[in-house]
Amino acid sequence: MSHSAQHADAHDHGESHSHAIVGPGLLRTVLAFLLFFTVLTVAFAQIEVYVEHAVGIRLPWWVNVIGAMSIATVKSVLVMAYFMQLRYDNPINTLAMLFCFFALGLFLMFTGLDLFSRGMVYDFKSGPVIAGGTGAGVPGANNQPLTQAAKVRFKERLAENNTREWLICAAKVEDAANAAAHSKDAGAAEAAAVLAAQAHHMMDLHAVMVHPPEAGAQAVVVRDLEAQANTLRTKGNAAAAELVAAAARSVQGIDMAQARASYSVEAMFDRLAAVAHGGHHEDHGAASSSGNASRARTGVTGVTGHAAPHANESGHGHGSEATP
Amino acid sequence: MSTLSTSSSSKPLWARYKPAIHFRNAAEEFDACKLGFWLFLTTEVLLFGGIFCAYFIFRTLYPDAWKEGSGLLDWRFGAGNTVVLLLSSYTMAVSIYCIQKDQQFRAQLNLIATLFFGALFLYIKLAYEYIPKWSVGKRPGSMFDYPFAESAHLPLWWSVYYCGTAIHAAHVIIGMILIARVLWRTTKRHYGPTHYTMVEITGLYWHLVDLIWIFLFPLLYLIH
Amino acid sequence: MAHTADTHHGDGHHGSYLERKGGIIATIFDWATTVDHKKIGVMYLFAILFMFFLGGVAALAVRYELLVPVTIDPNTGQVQGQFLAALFGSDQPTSVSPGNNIYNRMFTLHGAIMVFMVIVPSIPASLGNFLLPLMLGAKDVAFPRLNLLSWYIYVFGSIFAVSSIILGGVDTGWTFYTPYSATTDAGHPKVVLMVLGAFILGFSSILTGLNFVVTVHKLRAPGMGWFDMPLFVWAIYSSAIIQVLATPVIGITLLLLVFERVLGIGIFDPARGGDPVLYQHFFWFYSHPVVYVMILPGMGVISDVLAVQAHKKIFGYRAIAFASLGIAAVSFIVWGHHMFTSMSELASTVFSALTFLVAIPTAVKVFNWIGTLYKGSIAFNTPMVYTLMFLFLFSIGGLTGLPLGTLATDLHLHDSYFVVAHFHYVMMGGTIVALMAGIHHWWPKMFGKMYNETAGILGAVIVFIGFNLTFLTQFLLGTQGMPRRYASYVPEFQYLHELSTYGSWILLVGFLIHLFNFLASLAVGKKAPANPWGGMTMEWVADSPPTEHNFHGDPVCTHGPYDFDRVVPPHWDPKDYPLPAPEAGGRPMVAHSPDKHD
Ligand code: HEM
Ligand SMILES: [Cu+2]
Repeated sequence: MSHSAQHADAHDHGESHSHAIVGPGLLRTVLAFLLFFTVLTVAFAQIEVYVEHAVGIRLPWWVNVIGAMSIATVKSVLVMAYFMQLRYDNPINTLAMLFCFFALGLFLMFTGLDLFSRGMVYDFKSGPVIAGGTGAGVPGANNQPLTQAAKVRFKERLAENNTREWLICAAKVEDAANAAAHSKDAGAAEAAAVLAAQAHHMMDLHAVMVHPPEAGAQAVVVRDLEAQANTLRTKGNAAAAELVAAAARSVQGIDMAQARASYSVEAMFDRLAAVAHGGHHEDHGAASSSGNASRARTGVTGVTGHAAPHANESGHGHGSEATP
Repeated sequence: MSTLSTSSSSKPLWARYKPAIHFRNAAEEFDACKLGFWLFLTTEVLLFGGIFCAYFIFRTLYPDAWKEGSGLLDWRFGAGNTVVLLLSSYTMAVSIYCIQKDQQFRAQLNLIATLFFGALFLYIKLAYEYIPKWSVGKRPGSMFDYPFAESAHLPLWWSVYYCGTAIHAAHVIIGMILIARVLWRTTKRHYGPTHYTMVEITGLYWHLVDLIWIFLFPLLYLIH
Repeated sequence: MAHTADTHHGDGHHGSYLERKGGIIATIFDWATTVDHKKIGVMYLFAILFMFFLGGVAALAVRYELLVPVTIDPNTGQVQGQFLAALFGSDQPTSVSPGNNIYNRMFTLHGAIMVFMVIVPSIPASLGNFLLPLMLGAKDVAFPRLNLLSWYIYVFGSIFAVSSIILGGVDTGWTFYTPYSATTDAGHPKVVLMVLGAFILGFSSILTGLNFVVTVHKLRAPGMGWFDMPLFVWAIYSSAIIQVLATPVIGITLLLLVFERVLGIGIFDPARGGDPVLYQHFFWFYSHPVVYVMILPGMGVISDVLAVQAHKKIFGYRAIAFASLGIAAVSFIVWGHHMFTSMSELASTVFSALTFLVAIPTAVKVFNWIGTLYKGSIAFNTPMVYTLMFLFLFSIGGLTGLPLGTLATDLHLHDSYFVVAHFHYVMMGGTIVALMAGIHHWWPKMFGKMYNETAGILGAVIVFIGFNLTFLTQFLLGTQGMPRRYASYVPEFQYLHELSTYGSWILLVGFLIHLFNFLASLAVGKKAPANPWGGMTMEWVADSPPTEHNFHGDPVCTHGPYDFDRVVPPHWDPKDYPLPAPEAGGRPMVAHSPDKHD
């Protein structure tokens, strides 16, 4: 990096060493480096996910942490040295910052010293840690851990009539999508895409939590699917249109009374959870991220696979022994 | 600190600036202000230190919650916001350069750009992260309502996430207020080659905001 | 220490800074908008003394409650001996809890006021503000407007915190431990008010601290190197560094606590998956260093007062200066000693070992002070009496810290009256006593009036007696097992508790004597000379009270702060005290002073 900083030429008074002028050329260079490092740190994290996924090598957790933190450190040094001009400044300012990082280091280190060595001698010191908390006194938690309470509340919602109807239809659409996906027929691929999108949209958390379904879901879904079929038809894909229309008919044909009776909240919950963890669910609409999706997917490949890789390695007796 | 003599000379305000009487000269005053502000910045870093400490402790204790939590964030918004803040830092630094060279108009343009990037950052944060996440129950502590948590400590992750990013966002807003004030005063020619302490200091504050984000971004979005 | 060049009369302000500017309204406005460090220092002094009074009233109430144990009449079932409950209305109670609740609120109020509003700002914000620029030969602190702002923030934060009593009071203790503080009085804003008050006070502390650091770095008079600074300045400098580095952590801690209460984020709450001891780490990372913010300025006062009142060059100047920095450094790595009973064994052991490190620089200072007294020409006046008191009481306070820092003994002593006695010996016997020494020592400089020496010494002696009666008994209570923060006790403890309460009344008498002495001095005190004690540091070159910009002209530093052996102090009057023996072969130099020139 070129040092094109010039010192101020004409200053009427005394020491002008703090009046360094950092020119736009150097600033642009620094900006370029900073952007480069941003790309680098993202790439680093993504490559790690990729390696784990494609090659099957799980890198130790500290590779990820040290990589990300050292890149962040380099970036922050660049910002401080050039944008904040510490490099041209009175060294006392740098010293102040170093002291501050040192104090921060002490804070983290000694706090960690305690929290990571609980129960080293006596088990009772690490205590009966209730994973996720006891929930005592938390409104709406009923003395359960918070995550558990959230599940229970959600299941109560799933049992509500309107929601139930909506999800029964959604499940039907999803079945149709799956069937289409496995079929070799003409237009099946396009139909599968349309139906999957529809199912995904219906099973989204938004659809259940944010805008709770209203009565008459069956008719609404049928109308939606028929509209989709018409669109496909006008595009000239009659085969796909027919498949979608068939799905609409099958939704129409659901016997709600009977379906309700065989509806299982637990099964529905699992279905929704699979959607959520499968990465199809993204709470910001269609913008679904491949990176996170794949990461979330690795998380759901079996309960054991999800147990944190470094919980065992770090060896403290406090962390991950979640009570079942 | 600043005493502006009210003599009716035709020089711009910055050229008429006289340092406060307890300083020997303007350079010393400038130096003192900068040292004072750097000390203030250390307090800001240590304020966030509390958040970093909570992150560090709970990440080590409950790594699965942290892995799950960062998996629920979308790195593209984090990276996008990183770029936005880096650009704003750049425009801020350039505006200081322009003031040093008495290019008032260019300085104002750059300050406006900085303000724009700051607002963009907040918009992305709010519209693509806070609102969608909050509405599906990805909330801190007692307010947690996300049904598909696998790790029992996921609410803690959201506590750290929201505390860290919200306090950071508050700093973005304060920084924007400071920048707006500087911008307004540049229109009155308060700052120029021999006097630009407030611009410099506002710049330092803004870079600090960037600096904190440089660490928050990988901690929250990339580390898993 | 100073030579003022009389060439530069630029400003033309030659009146005392206390001079009235017009009528009452104009004067009040003048003070309310002043950026003069001297006025701000005086305003701080009055605000702090007022808070000291409030906190003192709460303390007397707490002691009064403990005069007799609470008993329940076996026949009528009525509660007896709850003075506070009787005082606040509920007559003939049949349950102890209303009285206990009042007691809890009272000691919380006392602790919070005394720590956050009195002891932390006491010496730096009042004496420090007043003296720092004077001692450095500067016209003001680096950022005068920030200085005024920090005073307003202090007042605002205090009002915030104290207003929680109007809403019924807070019962968390000054430490606000979670999860209790996150859940008590749920839904009520008063705990949040108190916590935010402490948060706001932290800002005031930070601003003062960074202002002082910059002032010391940038505004020393020409000729004044780091080792020509008075030790008071070193002490203020060290404690300002701690203020800057530690206070933000209490800021985030209290903020998280507010979030915890209002939003239930759960970081510190086991019901929500968090860790309550983590709160204690956060809290003590600030609050242990801050006990050195409390004591370091006190030590600085003692160093200066001791040298001046003994008219002797301080023994081991550099050792004391570096000890200040050393204490500041070590103070950041011992906080765990407040959690021995809840931490892991490993952390406890490490923190215990580190705690003992503090004793080294502390002892260095004590020994140097005693060395300074040796063969000095000691003036027996109020500042000196308070200084000797400090040496005695602070030593007891510091030494009792050692059994507390020892793991095995602390398990017994933790949360007992032994701890209460320990920290009162260091905070009151140390900081408040040093504050009293400093106020008397610099009173003539601040207000241009002498105080009555006899009354001052009398007050000091009574405070000494009252203090020891109040708190020595508490060491005994603690070792016998009396827990802290209880409104009652077993009858066996009554004798010692009674003595302690009587002691608190004697303390009150002592402080009232001082109060009247100060008021009398302001009203009818003799006019003070510029240098009544024969000090060598720069503030004694300025007028008493100083002019608006402190000095006539720009002072230059020509000799060390305690060069009593080489230099005849400015304004020296042979009647005051004998001249120290000149160094071999030479006559003492005479320090230049504007008065002798003119
Ligand atoms: C000289 C060395 C010192 C040592 C070794 C020391 C050690 C200790 C220890 C171990 C405790 C915890 C006791 C317990 O809770 O079981 C303690 C409490 C305390 N100390 Fe010290 N201390 C020292 C000096 C000071 C000074 C100078 C101050 C203040 C000016 C101070 C103020 C306090 C306070 C306020 C507490 C009690 C806090 C609370 O729980 O409310 N100490 N000290
Ligand atoms: Cu301590």
